Formats: sequence, structure tokens, C-alpha cells
Amino acid sequence: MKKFLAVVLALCMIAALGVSAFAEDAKGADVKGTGVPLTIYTNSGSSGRADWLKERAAQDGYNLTIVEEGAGAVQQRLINEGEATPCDVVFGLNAIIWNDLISRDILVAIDPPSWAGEVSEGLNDPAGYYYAIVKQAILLAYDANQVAPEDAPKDWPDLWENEAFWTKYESQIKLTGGTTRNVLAGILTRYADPDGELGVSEEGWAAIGEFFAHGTPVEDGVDLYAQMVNPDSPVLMGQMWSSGADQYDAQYGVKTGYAVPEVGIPYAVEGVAIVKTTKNLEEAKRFVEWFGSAQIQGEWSEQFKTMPANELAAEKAPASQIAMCSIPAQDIDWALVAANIDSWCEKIMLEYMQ
Amino acid sequence: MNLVKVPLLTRMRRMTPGQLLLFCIMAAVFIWFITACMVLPILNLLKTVFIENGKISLSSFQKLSKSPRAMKALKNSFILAPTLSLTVGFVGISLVLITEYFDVKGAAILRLGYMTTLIYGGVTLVSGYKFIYSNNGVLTNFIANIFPHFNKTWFTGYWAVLFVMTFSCTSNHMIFLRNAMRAVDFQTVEAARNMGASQWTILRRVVLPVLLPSLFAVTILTFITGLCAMSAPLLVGGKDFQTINPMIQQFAEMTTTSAKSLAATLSLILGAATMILLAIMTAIERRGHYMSVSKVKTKIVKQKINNPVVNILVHFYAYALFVIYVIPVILIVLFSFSDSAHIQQRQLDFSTFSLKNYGELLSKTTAYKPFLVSIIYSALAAVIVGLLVVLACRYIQKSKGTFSATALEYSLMIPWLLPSTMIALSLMLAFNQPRWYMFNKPLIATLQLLLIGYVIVKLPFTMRMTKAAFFSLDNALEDAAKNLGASEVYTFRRVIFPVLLPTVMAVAALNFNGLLTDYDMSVFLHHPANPTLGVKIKSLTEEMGNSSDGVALTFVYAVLMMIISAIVLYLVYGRGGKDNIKE
Repeated sequence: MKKFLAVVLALCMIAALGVSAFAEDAKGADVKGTGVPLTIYTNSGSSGRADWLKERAAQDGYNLTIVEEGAGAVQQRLINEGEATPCDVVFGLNAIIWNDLISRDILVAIDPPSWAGEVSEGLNDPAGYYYAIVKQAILLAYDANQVAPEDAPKDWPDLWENEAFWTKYESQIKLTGGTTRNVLAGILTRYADPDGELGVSEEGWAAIGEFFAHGTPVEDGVDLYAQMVNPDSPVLMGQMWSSGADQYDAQYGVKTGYAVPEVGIPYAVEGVAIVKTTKNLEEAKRFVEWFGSAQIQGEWSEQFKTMPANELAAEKAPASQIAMCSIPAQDIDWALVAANIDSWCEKIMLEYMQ
Repeated sequence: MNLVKVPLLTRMRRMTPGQLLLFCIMAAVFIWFITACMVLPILNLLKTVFIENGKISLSSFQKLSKSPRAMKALKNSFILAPTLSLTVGFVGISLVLITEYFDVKGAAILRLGYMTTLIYGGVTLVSGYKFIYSNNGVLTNFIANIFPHFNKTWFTGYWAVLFVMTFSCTSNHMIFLRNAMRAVDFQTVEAARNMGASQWTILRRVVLPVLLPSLFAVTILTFITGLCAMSAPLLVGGKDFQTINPMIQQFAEMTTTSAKSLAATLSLILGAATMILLAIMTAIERRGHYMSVSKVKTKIVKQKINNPVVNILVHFYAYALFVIYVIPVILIVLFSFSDSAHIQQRQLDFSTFSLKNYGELLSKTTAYKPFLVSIIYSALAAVIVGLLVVLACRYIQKSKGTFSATALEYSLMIPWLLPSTMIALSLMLAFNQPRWYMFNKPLIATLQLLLIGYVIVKLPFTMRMTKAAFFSLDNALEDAAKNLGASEVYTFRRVIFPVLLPTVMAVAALNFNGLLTDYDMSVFLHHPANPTLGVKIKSLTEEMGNSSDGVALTFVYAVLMMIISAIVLYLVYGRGGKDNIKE
């Protein structure tokens, strides 16, 4: 019986392969790989993500080599490896880095995959360079056990404008992380001014100065939640990405509360894109079609408790993620951010950081 | 030591055809390696960083001079480096005296304790110290229980940084200064005593002068470590004592040219300071050559301290140091069985202990491979660097004072001018396209790229320490071999190299251990399918993709690394180091 089943299964797979190879109308997770090796760079590979994806993709005929590094490192690698880069597909990162890579002509625009229309509006790149897969809400989080919601900050500027919050929030000492940069972008773009220094008005720079002046600097190697539960530390609030909030709640027995600003919040949009110099464009396109589909993204979400950008897969996400990610997105000019973020960080490091 | 400068051409004319061929091949290899892998890539990087529209841009100097934070960090680095050299010098010398010169009870155990810095470092080490001294630390809690108003966040700022680094930077003393101490000729000590010299006079006038060449070398290293301090200021420096290297690192991680030029400017300032110090030290070295004159060395006999009060004080001091050195290691091992939350809160709670993290790490096949990759790369790099440097030092020794020797010596020091992140960038930028000097092949995504990087970053340290060993070589040995008719190659192989071997092996072991967890180089240069351990460990604590056990797993990795490092040290140094003086 088992043997019979195996044969049937094998036949089905061969049939499926044949279909995908010849029929152009296969869609989403039905698009199987041909085994052409693909090299993939990502910052979203740890906690077993890379291993899981490699195995799951192999089941559908894809042969992946996954390089997992921090977002900044992936960006640097792609820029400096130039045309010699072995990379075919990148996934993860965030809108700031995506826009930087686009401006450096590193990515290739592709026709929208079949699932592009299922993604929440405004998350895909309008020009087709990258398509969204996971959203991370960038929150101003606090410990709800120690801070009542009515006493909590409502938006980032409260932290430095209201003396009650001084020293109670963390200010960053490293500005290379994606979350930090999204927070800074969310604050500075409120003061966008074409005549101001680096596109930001004087008022905006003063605000950033205050922000860094009144925070408690991060203790390197110790995360926000460890400070929240430490009675010797004044820190009770700080920046957090949405999937981290759930994870740290479980770990530290904390209940995360978060601000819901009227202007909305920044989202770190993890996406998928193809590198311009790829020699395996067809296979890369097949992989993108497969990877972003509601089926695969749903499985990913179930496995790693993240919020898929694909709305058809959204129901697989934990309720807490759905709640956090329902806060409206702040209207941010990502191209402006991408063009200036390094200069902004440079200025902050030299002039405002404690 | 009256060396006559012999011009290169004359020397070449005196060679046999075989020697000449060998010489030319060596010269070609060195000139190619230095030019193609270091000089051209670094010049290329500096050009992209400093030259704007065909003009040299000095805007980064202006930006930095206007930044109070950068200036303060720079000042702090320049305060830390000299003070650290003094404190580490003091502690380092006393470690060597305690374990090798004075008769201190339990010296063998003490030595093991003092050598713990050889197997761990960086963030792990500083975390180990924080488990004791910072808030919630063992000692802090103990004091706070007795004095309820004790400020629990006392362990921060300059003194905290100096404290941690003083005890963590004595590795080189424990190896190189100890080697030098073992080479002290006991007959000189006895002679001095027979002439009525006091113990203090003997120590000061007979023993210390012999240690000086090694002391110079390790002091330079300490000074550089102080200048480039990274983990200690970040973790315990607090608001008031941040240094320059973390800033350089961040600028280097940014993608804009202006940030890169800030990083380059700051690192060139540190590099220039290093080079000036090196030049001064080399000049002092050249002036006096401190060698024991006796040809038949006698092994040192441990000295009992005559004054009973001093004796008790020395014992107390020795064991106090032992406790300072050992407790962080014990705590790191203990905490590696705990979970991330307790590690970060520094709460030692035995009910959280489990083997889960070890099980998770050792059961996955993907967890093994980075170990293997890092071990192979580190071993290869350590051997290649050792080989290159021994050859270079031999040349420098033979042609001392000539232009080519000086040029070679300083070229091999170039990597000290820039941090490893920048060197990695220079390699990427240089070899992302075919270059004639690299046989027209791009090196991106090749296995050899990372190896080149590893070799380069370890050149200066290896060079400095091996050169010190060459300096303390007894020329009479070589002369004797030559007089007996031994050929040059034979003399080197059978007479000189065996004497150098303990140092060469020790340096190789240190290089191996240092590269094992490298992140700065690996992250940019590793082959896509073969990530190294440092990259793997770092990814555990990356935001947004991090695992809830991330921090705990880094501790498990740290403990495994300690074990590997200890094994390596034992294999190449522990056994070989026992009897390197002919008795």
C-alpha cells in the first residue's frame, strides 16, 4: 500500500513539475523550482528561518544557498560586491534600505507576481523593484504592568516634551539598526523642510537633540525588556518591533503596551527583490512567485509568529500581531529618508548623542 | 652588534645561483602580496573616501573638530591608552614574577587562573566582569546588603573600564614576558647575590633589564589595545567614558562616502599614533640591546622572599588577583546553562539551569559547520602568517638598517593603520572586478578572499612579537653554526628556528584563537555557502529575526570557544612551552 502511495505521489510530483515547466498559468506556491541554484541574501534568517526555508523550498524543487547577516551588512555586501556579487534574490530588509538599493541601481524591476494584489496597499514598491512579504510595526513600547495606559506616552514627541518621561525611555547608542533608523525617520520626516539642513528644519533638529538629551542611553548587550524589569534601572519604555514585543513578553513576564499616535507609525516592510546582475533571472522570478504566495507566507507566519503582508495569509498570524499591525502607517517619504538617513545619523552621532 | 650595512646588489652578487633564485622568488611573493593585497586596495579605498571631484576633501576633519562628542571620545582614548599601558604593565609584570620568579605557594594553579584571558575576550569577558561588579552583580549585591544606601550602579566610567581592561589585557604578558623570564640566566642572579645585592636590587638591575625587549613589545600592544578599546567602554563606560573605536565602527558600517571618510579619518589618527609609538620603540630598541651575556644558561630557581611581611603581602596579592581572574570565567560557564532573561538581568538562579541550549546547539547539523569553517580558516591563516613573518623577520635581521628591510618591516605594519572593517571594505572594493594584479579574476564569493583578509589583519601583531624573539636571539649560536660549516638554510632550520619555535607557536595559537570568533572581517568576506562562527553568533542577537534564546546561545558558543581555545593552547603551548630552555 505504502509503495503504491509513494508511486502515486512521485507521479503526481513529476506531473506537477511537468505542468509548472510547461504551463505558464501556474501560480503562487504551485510554481515549482527547476533546481537551478539560487544564492539568497537575507537579514531574516536566524532562529531557524533560513533552515526552514531551505528545506521547505527544496520540497518544491528550489536549490537555495542562504546567506544570513544583519540588514546593514547585507546592504554593504550588495553595494561593495558590485557586479561580482553571487546574490540572485534578497529578502527581508526594510523600506529605507530597499530605496537605497534602488537608487544605486542594484535591483531589477519585475512584473508583479500573481500575489502582489493580495498585499496590503502601499507596501509594495510602485515601480516593481521589491514586493512586501512581512510587516513589522515599529512601536513605542512600555511595560503596561508599571505604566498605566492613561499615563503612557501617546506619541514619540511626548518623551522629550513631557518632563515625566525624562530618563524613563531608552535612547540609542548605535544608529545602524533598522528599528532605530525607522524611529528616527518617523520623527525627522515630520519636520521635512527642503531649505533646512539635510532636508530637516531647525525645529526638527532641536527636537532630535531633546530626544537624545533626555533618554537613558542603552546599555550595550542588554535589551530593553531586561531594563524594564530591573528595579535599579529607570527605563520603562523604548522602541520595539512588533514580533519582538510578543517574544519578550513571554520571556520576561511583561505585558507590552504601546502608543497609538495620531500620525500613525513607521512600518519596517520586509520584502523580496531580484538582484540586477543575476544570471538566473527566470528561476529567481519563479522563486519570488512561490515565496510570496499566501500559502508559503501563511506557513512562514505560523512558524515564526510574524505578520504577513499578504492579506490572504494574515489569518495565520497571532492575534496580538494583527492588533499591532492594524495601527495606520505613518505617511513617510521613504525616498527622502533613504537619500538622507546616513547623513542624519552622522549628524546625530557627532552633535546630539550623549 | 656592529652590523655593517651591505648594499642589496653586493649581497645579491655574493649569492650562489640557487640562493639567488630563491631570493628572487621570495622577493616577488612579498612584493606582490604587499602591493596587491594591502597597498593598492587601501589606497583605492582612501581615494574613494577622501577625493571628491578630483580634489582632496577635508570636510571630515572640520566635522570632527566641531563635534564635542568625537573630541571627547578621542581624548578618552588617548587617556586610556597610556594609563592602561602602566596598569597592565604593573599587573603583567607581577603575574610573571609571581608565577616564574618568586617562590609563591600554589604557583601552578595561580598560573592557570592568570591564563584565563587567553581563552576568552571581548563582549563575553566584559559581561563576565559585569556579573560581579555592575548592578545586580554578585559583589554589588553583597555590598548593598551590608550598606543599603550603596550606589548599585557604581561600576561605570573611566575606572570601571580601566579595571576591566587592566585584568583582561595581560594575555601577552603571560606568554611573551613569561618566555623572556624563563630565559633569564640564573647564574647572573647568583653572581649578584654573591656580591651582596639585595633581592630588590637583583630584580631591578639584573632581571628586569633582560625582560625589556619583550616588555617593549607587549607594551606597544597594550597601548594599541587601549587606543582601540571597544567592548569595555561600550559595556561599562557609561555616559562619561566612551572611546573612539565604537564610533569608527559605526561610521564604517554606514554606506555613505562621508561616513566612511569620518571612519577613515578617525582610524588614521589612531593609526598615526600607533606608528609614532612604534618608531619611538624601535629607536629605543636599537639604542640598547639587552642580552644576558652568558653562553651556558642555567634555569632559574624560584626565589623565596626573605622579608616575612612582604612574603605574606605578596601571597595575599597573588591570590586576590587569582580571584579577580577566575570568577568571571566561572560565572560565564554557570550562566551558559541559564536562559537569556536571567543572563541579562544577571540573576544567578539555579532553578533556570538546563542543558537545553547545549542540546539545541549540538543537535543541529547547521550548527556544526560554522565551527569547522572557522577552525580551518583560522588554522590556515595562523600558519601562513607565521610563515610569512618568520621569513620577513629573517630578512630584516640579516639586512638590518637597509632601506628594503625597513620598508618591509613597515609595510607589514600597514594593517594597524585601519580597523578590520575598513580593510575588509578595501578588499571588497578592490576585488569586485578583475584586476591585473590579481590575475584578472574578481575575488568576491571565493574561498580565498576571507583567507587573505585573515592573513592581513594578523600580520602586524605577528610581526611585532616574532621580531622581538629574533632580537633576543643569541648571535653566538649562529656564528658557531657557521664556523662549523653549516649552510645558511641549514643554520636557520636547525639552529635558529628551534629557538624561535616557542614564540612562533605561541603567536600562532593566539592568532588562531583570535580569528576563531572574528566577525568584522568575516561578515563581508565570507563565502556564501560557508559562513564563519562569528557571523553565526552575531545573527543570534540581530533584531527582528532574533531568537528568544539568542543571548543564552551566545554564552553557550562562548563556553565552547573557551574549550577549543584551551585545547589549542595546551597542544601548541602548554606542552611545548615546558622545556624550551636547554638545561
